[in-house]
Amino acid sequence: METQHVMNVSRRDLIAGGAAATVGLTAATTLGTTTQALADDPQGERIEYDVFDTDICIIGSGLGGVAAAIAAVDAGKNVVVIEKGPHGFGGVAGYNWDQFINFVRDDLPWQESTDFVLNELTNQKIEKNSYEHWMGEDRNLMVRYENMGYGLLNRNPETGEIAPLLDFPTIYGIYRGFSRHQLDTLGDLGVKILDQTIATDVIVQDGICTGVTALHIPTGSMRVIRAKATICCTGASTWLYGWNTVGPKTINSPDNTGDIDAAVFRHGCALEGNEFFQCDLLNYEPTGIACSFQSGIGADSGCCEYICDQDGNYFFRGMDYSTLNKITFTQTIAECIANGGGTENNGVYVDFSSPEAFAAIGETYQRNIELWKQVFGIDVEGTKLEVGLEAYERSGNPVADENLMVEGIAGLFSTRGGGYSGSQGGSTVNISPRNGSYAVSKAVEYIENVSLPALDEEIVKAEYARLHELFEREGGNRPQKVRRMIQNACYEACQPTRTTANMEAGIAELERIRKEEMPKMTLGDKSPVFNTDWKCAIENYNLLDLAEAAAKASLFREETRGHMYRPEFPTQDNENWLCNVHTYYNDGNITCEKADVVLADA
Amino acid sequence: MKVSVQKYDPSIDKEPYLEEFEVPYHKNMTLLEALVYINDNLAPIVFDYSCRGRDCGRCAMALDGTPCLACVTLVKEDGDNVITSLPGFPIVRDLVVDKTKVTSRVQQIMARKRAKPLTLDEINAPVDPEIYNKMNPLEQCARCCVCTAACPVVAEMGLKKFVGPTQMIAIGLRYYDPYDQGDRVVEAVQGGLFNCIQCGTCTSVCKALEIDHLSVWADLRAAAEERGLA
Ligand SMILES: Cc1cc2nc3c(=O)[nH]c(=O)nc-3n(C[C@H](O)[C@H](O)[C@H](O)COP(=O)(O)OP(=O)(O)OC[C@H]3O[C@@H](n4cnc5c(N)ncnc54)[C@H](O)[C@@H]3O)c2cc1C
Ligand code: SF4
Ligand code: SF4
Ligand code: FES
Repeated sequence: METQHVMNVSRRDLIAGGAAATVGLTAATTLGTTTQALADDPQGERIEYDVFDTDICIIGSGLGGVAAAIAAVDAGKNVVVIEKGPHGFGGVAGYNWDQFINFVRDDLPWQESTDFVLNELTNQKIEKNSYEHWMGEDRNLMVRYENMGYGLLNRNPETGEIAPLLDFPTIYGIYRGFSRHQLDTLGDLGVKILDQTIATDVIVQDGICTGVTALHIPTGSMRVIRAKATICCTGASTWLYGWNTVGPKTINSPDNTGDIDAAVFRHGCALEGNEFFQCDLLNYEPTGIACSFQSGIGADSGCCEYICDQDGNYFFRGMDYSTLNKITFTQTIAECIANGGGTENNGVYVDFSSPEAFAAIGETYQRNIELWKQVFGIDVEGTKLEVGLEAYERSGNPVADENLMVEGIAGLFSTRGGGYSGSQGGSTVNISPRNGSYAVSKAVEYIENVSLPALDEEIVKAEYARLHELFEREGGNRPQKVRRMIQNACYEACQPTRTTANMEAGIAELERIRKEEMPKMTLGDKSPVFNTDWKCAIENYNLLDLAEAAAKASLFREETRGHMYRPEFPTQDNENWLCNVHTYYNDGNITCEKADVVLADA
Repeated sequence: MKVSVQKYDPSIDKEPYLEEFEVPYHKNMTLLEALVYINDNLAPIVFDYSCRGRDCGRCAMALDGTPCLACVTLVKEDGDNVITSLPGFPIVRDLVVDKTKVTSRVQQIMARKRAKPLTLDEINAPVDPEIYNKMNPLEQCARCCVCTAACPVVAEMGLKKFVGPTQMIAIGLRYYDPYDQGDRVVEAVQGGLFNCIQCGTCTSVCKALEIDHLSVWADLRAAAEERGLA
């Protein structure tokens, strides 16, 4: 059982400057039990925070996190789950979308698996272990999904027969897995869910992770979770990539700002896979739903025949479609744009003049044709729709060992251990749960011999000070403005068509932001209650570190590989670049090094 | 374009008030675009969103008094554009409300009731296509609570007498679900199925366009009547 207790420290010690006592916590006296004691304290000086003790702390209740929680409960462990969004509505899994679920069906050896993350740069030890961990019944996602209270997987509407899209002895793929039902089951597991709570750092004592510091967004109060093992399941940190009017050039979630990846990076651990993203095409107009495939219209590799450049060249036609995976798909478009085929927005077109194009775009997009008619009065039939490459997933995760334990911090596991997806650049609804379950199986072994040391209050104080110092700033840009700068610079460097000049410009701008913008970034809102300026500022530190790591790793890799195309280095160069790129953080300096691909038998 | 946004910080304000902004309009501007513009360029306002496309339900609020999803609702160039929080839900801050009184119930309803787990053979067996075609659209419910906020019966009687359309759609989904073994008809009746006046307001505000609420209510009513539960 986890226990909850309260500790006091003096606020005055923490933040330099007498003005500190008037901001933040003293304003929160009407809220909740945590802050009630403040009102009793005539000086308004004490701060309080809740402490939860548990065996395993899971950060992020997405698909990886839920599978991790199930595995931990099955192993008889106490679990605390921290979730940034409202429970059931956080991250990608908190969208209610019609997923394509795919899995390897039988007990094939791992190296023959057609899992999407297995490629030339994949960390084979992680892939092999995680793959072999999830055998038999577990591996069959149909059984798993249907028993987690899913709806009905895709059926033929006339016969009611189950209707997969892929049905081969090795691989099976089917639509209509609605991820949110997985989150529904979390409540029944008996785990403690701390939602609307952002994990801000991991607590590291003598090289060992002993838990997490976090902030409860509705009240602005601090939470400390002490755990024998911590599992990071915070999804793809894709929110750093460009900006339209309501979101970056990604359909991923604003919750996924890579907070723990960045924290781990600052603790001195290496990141890997930063240069690789996963992309699909999505509409630019109407701007409000650009980069939202739940209401947008776009195309993936299934729709290649109908994609053309601005001169009307259908540049995929004539290609061998059987070799067309997501990587080739994106790289081909990026190359077309590099060669002058792109629109003003660096986009291409989907040609809807033939009805077959509608059939080819897939169910998710088809569903939005009627919405466009009703809401925007737009009928795409017969038109050429301008679409751009947006990233829906990305890699860039802490380097982990074969147990998915982060290298350099014992007791901290990451379901997206660096290198796990190689040049694929991210996860699927199959891989995240599989890795979540695997990481916990290793965490359970690990904690057998672990007892929690006393909490080092200095660490908590320092984190409190770091977060609250943000209220002291004056005269700078608001965090929203700074974020747009980060996102735009990151896009400049990391978009799939990567010219060296653009990448260098993006990196220079990120370095400028670090030096000039961050130190004086100023909150426009001083309330502790649901302060989205504060949250944005905290996340910006993480986004900036990851954006710079991504930009620098992209420039460092002098070849064309994965989803991206570099006009100056237009071919894949296995002689020099059949390797991963590790990025390191050293006091604000981010550097890159080559690292060998981890082979299964090494 | 004029836009007025509800502001409210419970640690300072006695009650919510409106703040007016001037926003440059462009064609097909969504309410969410207007809010992001204000928050980025004019003044801090607190609102929540995630998917930008009617699937997460987190941007539910009201435009000129009508509950809606900000991401798929247009502002009007010459309109009042008064933006308030989702009616009937406690305000956390500005436009953010606490919806857990409905959403946590939906999570419980959604738990499929079964004596034994399904086997692969059961999953592979065909299901009645008519049932599949009825259940399928209900999966698209974002649990946004826009319909519940707009429902006149919920407004008049409260959620205790009528659980409202969001929860009733979840009950309907499990009622159709051939794998569910719970008594969902009783659940619907106890949830106030017969208090619904079948006005169709829920359908008119819902952006999951494939959901036909009234046909679900009709099926549940017929089943209840057949069992003498009406
Ligand atoms: C729109 C979209 C459609 C996709 N469609 C498919 C598909 O059809 N098939 C397929 O195989 N794959 C698909 N993918 C990829 C797949 O969905 C993802 O790989 C998978 O959901 C990732 O799971 P995850 O657990 O790693 O991340 P998520 O499910 O995003 O979970 C991360 C969780 O961490 C939380 N979190 C983040 N930071 C913090 C923090 N600091 N503190 C606390 N909590 C935090 C978030 O709120 C979130 O709940 C799609 C991706 C997107 C974006
Ligand atoms: S039925 Fe429609 S309006 Fe109601 S909660 Fe579901 S998606 Fe929202
Ligand atoms: S039809 Fe029933 S549930 Fe829908 S709004 Fe009217 S009274 Fe409410
Ligand atoms: S942002 Fe997700 S429904 Fe509007």
